Parts: sequence; structure tokens; C-alpha cells
Amino acid sequence: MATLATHFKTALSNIEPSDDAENAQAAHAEVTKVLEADDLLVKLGVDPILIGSYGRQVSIRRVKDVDVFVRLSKAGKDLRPGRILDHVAAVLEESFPGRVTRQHRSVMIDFPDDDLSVDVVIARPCGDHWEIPQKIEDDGNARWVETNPTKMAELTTQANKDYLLYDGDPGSGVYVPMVKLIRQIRRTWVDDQPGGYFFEVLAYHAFSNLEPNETSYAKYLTVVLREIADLLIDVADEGLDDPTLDGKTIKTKATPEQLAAAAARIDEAATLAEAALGANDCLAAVKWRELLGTTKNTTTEEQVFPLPEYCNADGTKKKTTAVTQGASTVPAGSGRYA
Amino acid sequence: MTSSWQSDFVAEADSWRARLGELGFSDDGDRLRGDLPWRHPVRGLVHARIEVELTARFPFTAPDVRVLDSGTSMQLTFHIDRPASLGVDGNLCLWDAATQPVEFAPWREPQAFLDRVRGWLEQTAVRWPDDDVCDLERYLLRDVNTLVLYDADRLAGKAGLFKTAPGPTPRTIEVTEKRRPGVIAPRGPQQLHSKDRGLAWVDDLGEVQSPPREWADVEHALKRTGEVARLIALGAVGYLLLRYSRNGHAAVLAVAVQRGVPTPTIRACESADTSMATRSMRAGETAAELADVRIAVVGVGALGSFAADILFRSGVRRLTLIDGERLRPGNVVRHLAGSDDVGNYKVMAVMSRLAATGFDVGKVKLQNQDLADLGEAVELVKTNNVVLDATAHARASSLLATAANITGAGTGHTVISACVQREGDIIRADRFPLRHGEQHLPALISDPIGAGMREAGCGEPVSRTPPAAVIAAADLACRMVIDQATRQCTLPASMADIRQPQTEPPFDQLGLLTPTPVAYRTDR
Amino acid sequence: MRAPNPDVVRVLIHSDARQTIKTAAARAFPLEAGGLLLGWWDNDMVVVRAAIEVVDPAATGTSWIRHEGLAQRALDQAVAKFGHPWLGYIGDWHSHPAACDASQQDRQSIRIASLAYAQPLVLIVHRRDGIIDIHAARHGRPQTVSAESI
Repeated sequence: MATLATHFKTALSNIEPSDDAENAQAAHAEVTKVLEADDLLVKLGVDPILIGSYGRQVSIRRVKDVDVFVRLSKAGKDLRPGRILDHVAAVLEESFPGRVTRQHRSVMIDFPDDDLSVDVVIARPCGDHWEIPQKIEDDGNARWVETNPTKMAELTTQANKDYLLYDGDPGSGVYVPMVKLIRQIRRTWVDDQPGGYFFEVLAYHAFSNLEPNETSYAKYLTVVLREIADLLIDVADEGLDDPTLDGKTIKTKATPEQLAAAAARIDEAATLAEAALGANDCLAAVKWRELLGTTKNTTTEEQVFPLPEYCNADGTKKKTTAVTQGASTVPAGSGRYA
Repeated sequence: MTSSWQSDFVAEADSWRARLGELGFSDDGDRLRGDLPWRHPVRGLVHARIEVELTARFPFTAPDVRVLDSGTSMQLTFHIDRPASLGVDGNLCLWDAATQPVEFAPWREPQAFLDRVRGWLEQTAVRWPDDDVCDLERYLLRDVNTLVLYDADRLAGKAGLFKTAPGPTPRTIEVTEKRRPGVIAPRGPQQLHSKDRGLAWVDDLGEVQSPPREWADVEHALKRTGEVARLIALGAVGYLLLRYSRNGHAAVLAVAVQRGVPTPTIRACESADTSMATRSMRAGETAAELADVRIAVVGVGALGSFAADILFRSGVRRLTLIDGERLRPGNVVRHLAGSDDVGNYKVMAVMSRLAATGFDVGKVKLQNQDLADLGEAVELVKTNNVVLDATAHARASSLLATAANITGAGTGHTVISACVQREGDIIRADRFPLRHGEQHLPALISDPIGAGMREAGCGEPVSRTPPAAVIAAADLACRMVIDQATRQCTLPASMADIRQPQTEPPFDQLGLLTPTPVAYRTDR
Repeated sequence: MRAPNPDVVRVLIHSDARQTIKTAAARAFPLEAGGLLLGWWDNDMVVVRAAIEVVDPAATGTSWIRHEGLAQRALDQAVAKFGHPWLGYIGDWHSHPAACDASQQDRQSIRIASLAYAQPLVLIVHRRDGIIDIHAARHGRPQTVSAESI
């Protein structure tokens, strides 16, 4: 059994979006400042927060886009999202000339220096929840759809408290590191769709179903990945329950073919993880490397899981000393010398 | 690029972690945590929870271990480090670094490692009954800057308030044997006489059952707690000197105290005993015997100065040093004394070095005139048990050899004549007079010294012997002197160390050369 | 650095091994004596660090037989005694009470024995005249030997 704990720790730090984090924080702050300075938006009770994987701190290197959820807490039922989005785009254009794109349901601001974009989504209150425009008509009216993006952040925080590597040590949460590893595996093993959020939700369900209690990242990853592979088979037929909204399922752009392909690939990945867990050190390391792949969208692709110094890339152990101990057994039978 | 020996260690650490993982330990890549069942003497099998951390020094040192939960309500007492920071547990001291040979690193076997932790818990449960390790400093905050000196003999049996004085170097303080009598009270508002600050309170803690970790523990153990607390609060007491014992093994804990509200802060200082007994401890087993032996060193140049130093450090106190020369700058590189003694008589220069050891030089006699005649040489041999001839001067040597032969075998008075020959290739010492049946090694003709080997002017020829050969010769000479002075008489009449083989036998073999014993016919 | 010649087995023989063999051969004369060579493999070099005698109760002037049970016991004891981490079985030795080299039978026996090991085995024959004849076999095939003393 090879759990290679120190190397998993390095793998996790290799997918940590440390440089992106500062840039994302700064970009978010800039956009928020502009929005909060606009009179109309202030009247509508503007209150932007970070959402998305970055907001939930489960993003991995590279972070390409940051989602800002602009809550308009005083907006009424008569709010016409088309107009408001036009207004937001205009306000932002003034501060970020030439970098603003009015999209179908949101406004995107480009930060080319950081190779980053910020997506601004507007929302109006709806009971305890929020609604975002789903489809905006030509007249600026829209159909609204219920959403609860902050709920996922709450669930993530809670799950990271529930699943601990060390009992009683709240600093040893494994849920967040596992979601990051699962997102990295998706990037490596699945073509484009389903996306990272879909897999994050899968991971959430896998944890809820299994309530795992393991002693290493390697073991957690192996059992969670297997459960996700199993879940994916059912998801093709039944859809994926949205843990933030009762009775709703997660929308995905993935076609049934893409879902089936993803299920097959993740099954393969889960089998690889099981083999890695059962293998001995160097062979295990090579399998973990294959599973976790390379960092995506980085200048150079870097292997996420390090190869231990004492291993060769083919999974054999480096022969650091050329000495072979003399045999511990004599030849069988008897040998006659004349 | 990692070298292969490094990757060997990484591989070992990985497999070590994996073994602990198989035993149920959780591992986040930094620390391993898991349950450790152990047998409590009263409660039977209990489960402790421990945290293990492999440091970069593994496998040369054991992994760090901290007890998160001992599984019972016992107090962790001895053999545990002070936590590195608040809220962290202290590391267990599982193996004594000084006595554990690194080539035998038992912690490399995880099971042996865990057994050691179990043993530690079991010992803690029974309060370490056979333990005599005196390391109370370990359990307190440290004052790494201050060294506290004290004379254990002079303070023996005394307790109370004592004056302190600055030590020989900055950041050392000495607890003197002078008491501060009377009552200390502030002169005015918050004012204390300057001589009443930084005093030391000397006391006994007796046999220590659990190590003090803070002021309250120390306070609890003192006899006159109220008085000490008052003096600390006044700022009068700056140090505590606490004698204690562990299973009868006596030791001293020195603590620097700073008054504070609500309690004073205390920090353990390194401390050292200045008593004669402690300072003489490393002088060798013959030191006491040598204290009353009279030894003269004739010639305290290169060889003689180092020999005088070795003899004095070995315990010889009745030492007579004879040399008529002054120390020249060119001497210093091969002499005990330093350049600040240039111009002084060599005997004075050596004397000041001997005095610097801190031992009593009151019985060391100096003579800054060379031996004049045979009469004086005979007198010197008669009045000294051993005379070391370190003159490297044929005339003086023959004078002393003759004096030794006149004084005669059987009186026990001897002359050891030591020299360096052939520019350090050979070092040699000969004893006079010979005992029955003894003979010396044959003489070796010295190479003539070239004309260029003199200092400016027409002084004595200068030998180009390197300093190492001089010190080796001093060592050889002292071995023979001490052998005679302690009347062991186990060494032969000549000893030569051939450091570079010569052409003439028997000086053609590397190593120690002694004379062949004279064979006697027994069938007379 | 010289490129290693794959067909040549370098054998390093420690003086301890030579001494043990010489003493045992002299003691057993005029019968044959024999036993195990202990050491390790360092790349393609065989290091003969020590030799131990294994008594063949039926030895004659022209035969010595290695019996598995006796030999294994002797090996286990020796490894425990020396406490050297690399020490193990690397071949056989026996003495000839005459001045003759390894026989056909000798060379065949070491070849057969070598089939069970990944590394080459060494055979040392100690001749009456003090000369030692050294052979090696790997995977059942004879090897050219270059021997050195250490």
C-alpha cells in the first residue's frame, strides 16, 4: 500500500492557484468599487459577492474566470434585466474601456495582463433565494430562474468541517482538497463537458453517500472517485440533484454522449486510483501521476504529482547502490566436487 | 538534482510513513496522527493519541512525537520538551542524544519506535522510578544569553540571599558566597539601593518529583516562599540557584527571575560550578598525586613551555621554571605564550599562561638565569623529584645527565632529557640515570644546521622544526616525567617517535622506538 | 572509466577468505575440505569477503559434497555471526590434496548451482601447492574470470 502522503501534499500545492488568487482578488475589488459607485445601482441595493469555484476556494490552477454575483437587494419584480445589464455594461465600460463585453446573461470584463476575466451576473431577491435572468427577450424582459450560489459555499464549508483527516482537528478538512483533486482529474480525463462545477456537485454527493473516514488523501481520493464513477452512470438517466435547491437538478451543457464518455473515463480513472493504492511506492507514484495529469492553461504543462526522487519514470526504483546482498539460501540439493 | 543518498532517505521516510499508515495512522504529508494502545499499571490497556512528525534530519534523529491524549488523566512530567509555541505540545525525549549511537538508530523500525513511545508512557505513569537525569532547565523557558557561575563547595549547605558579581566575560554572572544580611526594604517610593538589586536566592528543592514549568511550581517547592516572593517583587532577587536531586544524583538549577504582575517570569540559565573539585575533574587520575611532586623544567622555549603547561594542567603545582632568555617575536609561533609577552623573560611569559588557567600558581618558582655549573645542576636534581631538560643544548644536557648520575640511581631523582631532532623527523626523550639492566637508544648525530638558519646577527642557530613536532615532543616528555613522578616506572629509559624514517637503523622505521632490553645469562 | 566487459566476471577475494580456505585445507589433508564463499555482488563484480567450512562427513581424498541442510545451517550461523548487511552466499570452495585444477565435475557443479541465482556464482579450488583456481558461472554458463586480491 502506497499512500505517499508527502507527495500528495506537493501535488495539492502544485494545483493551488496561488498567483491567480491575488489577481482574482484585485480584479474583483476593482469591479466592485466601480459598481458600488454608481447611483442607480446603489438605489437598487447593489451588493456584489464572489461566487464560483474561486469564491468557494475550490478552484485550481489556472483560474481563468472569476464570477461576481451582483445582488440587487432592493430590486422589485419589475426589474428588466436587459436594461440593467446594458447599464452595468455602460458603467463598467467607462472604467474599463474596450475590455467590456455584454454577454447574453452577464457582463464580462477582461483583465489581459493577468490572463483573467470577471463575469458579472445580476440577481434579484426571491424569498430566501435569488433569481438570475435565464433568457432575456429582445424587449429587455426575461424569464427568471431561481438560484442559490451562496448555498454551495456554505455546504462546502460544512463538508470540510465534517470530513477530517484527524478526528477533532478542524484544520484537517479533506473535502476541499478532494474537490480540487477531482477537478484536476476532470481536466485530465474528461473532454470539456461536463464541467468543473458538475464534478464538484458529484464529489459533494459522493461524500454524502459514503461518509468516508480514511487516513490519507490517497485513500479518500480512491473511494470518492469510485463513487463518482458509479454516480455518473445513474446521472445519465436521472440527472444530478442540485444540493442547493430541493427538487432541482444541475443544468449541464453536456450531451448524453458526453455524459456517457465521461462515465467511462472516470470509471477508468477510478480503476487506476485503486491500482495505485494497491501498488508499491514507485509504481504507485507513476499511477498517481497518470491520474492527476498536468496543470492546464499554464505556460508550461507541469506534472501535478511529483515523481519521488528515488523512482524512475517507469515505476521502477532507482538503483542507488549497485550492491546486491549475497544470497540468503544455498543451492537446493547437494553439489558434488571432485 | 537530488543525489542518490538523498533519495535513499526520502524513500526510507516514505516507506516509514506507509508503515505507520498501515498501523492506522492518518497522514496529511506533514504529520501523522494515530492511536497507540499501551498498558497503564493500574487501568490496564488504554489508548493514547499521538502525533508524529518526520523532520529533515530523519533517519539521523528520531521523529518528533507529541502526546495529544495519553488516554488517561496522568500528568506528563519528565522527558518532554517545552512546547515550541503556545497551544502546541512538547516533543517527547525518547532517546538520549548523547548516549544513542547514530549508527544504531532504532527508530528506523516503526514498531521499535512505537514501543519506545509506549515505554515512555508507561514510565510516565509510574513516575520514572529509576530516573536520575538532571535536566530541569529543559522544562522552563530559556535565557540563552546568561551563564550563571557558582562555587558548589563554598555554597554547600547554605541557603538564603547571596550577592552576585559580574563574571569574567559579558553575560556571565557569579553567585558569590557573600551573604546579604539584614532586611531589605525600599529606601523611598519604589527605590532600592543599587547593590540590593540582582541578588541570588540559594535554596534546596530536595528530591524532585515533577519538573517545575512555571513560577508557581518553583514557588511551591521553596521553603521561605513568602520572603522570596517579596524580594522578587521588590526587584532585589534576580536569580534563583536551586539545588535538587533525582534519585540521589545532585544538580543545580539556575533561574533568572523578572518581577511581574501577577507572577514573576522565570527563565532557566545555563549554569556551571567553579569549585576546584569541578575544575580539576578533567585533569586526569594522577592529578591529586602530582600536586605534591616537585618538578623543574629547564628551558621553557618551544618544547619546555608546552611541557610546563601540560604538567601544570595535569596537576603539578610545585613547578620550577628555569630559562635565561627573553621571548622574541620569532619564538611565538612555536611557544605557549602569545605576542603580548614578547620582551618578557620566557619564564614570566609561561607563568602568565599558567595563571590564566585559574589554578593556583603560588608554588610555581621562576629562575631567569641559566644553570651555571654542575653544582647547581646537582642541587636542582636533589631538590626536585624530576627535572625535565628541555634545553636542546648539548652542554646543559650533559650537565644535567651528569648531575643525575652523581645523585645516583635508587634515590628516585631523575632527569628526563627531551629533544626534537632532524627538524622534527624524530622526537626523543631519555631518562637518567639508567636503572639496572637498562640501556638508552643509540645516539643520532644531528645534521649540521645551515648558515642561513639564523636570525639576523649571530645568535643561536634556528631549527626549522614545525610546531606540531614540538608539541608531540612535549607530550612524549611529559609521559616520561609523569611516569617517574608518580613512581609507576613503566616506561623504558629512551623513547623515540620516528615521524619520518631515517637512513640509519634503528631509526629507519616509522613509529615508536624503544631500546631492546639487555639479555642476561641466567646460568652463571 | 573503462567500459565493463560483459563476458568477464571480476572476482575480488579478501585475504580473510584465502586464509580460512588455506587453514581448512591444511587441516583436512589428505582429505578434501570444502564450504561456502560469502560476500556480495557489486555491479558485475563478485566480492568474496569470507569463506566458511562446511564439513562433509563422507569427504575423501577426491571428493567433497555440499549438503543442503548442513550448508544452509552454516550459512545462517555465519550471516548472524558476521552481522554484515551485504553478506550472503555467492559460491563454493573446496580443496584438492593434489596440485590439480578444478575438474570437469567441479565446473559442472558450479554451473548447475548458478541456475538458481540472478548473479554469477564463484568456485574456488585450493590446490595442494597453494595455488587457487577460480571459476565463475552465470545462469548455467561458464564465465571468464578476472580475479584480484583485497
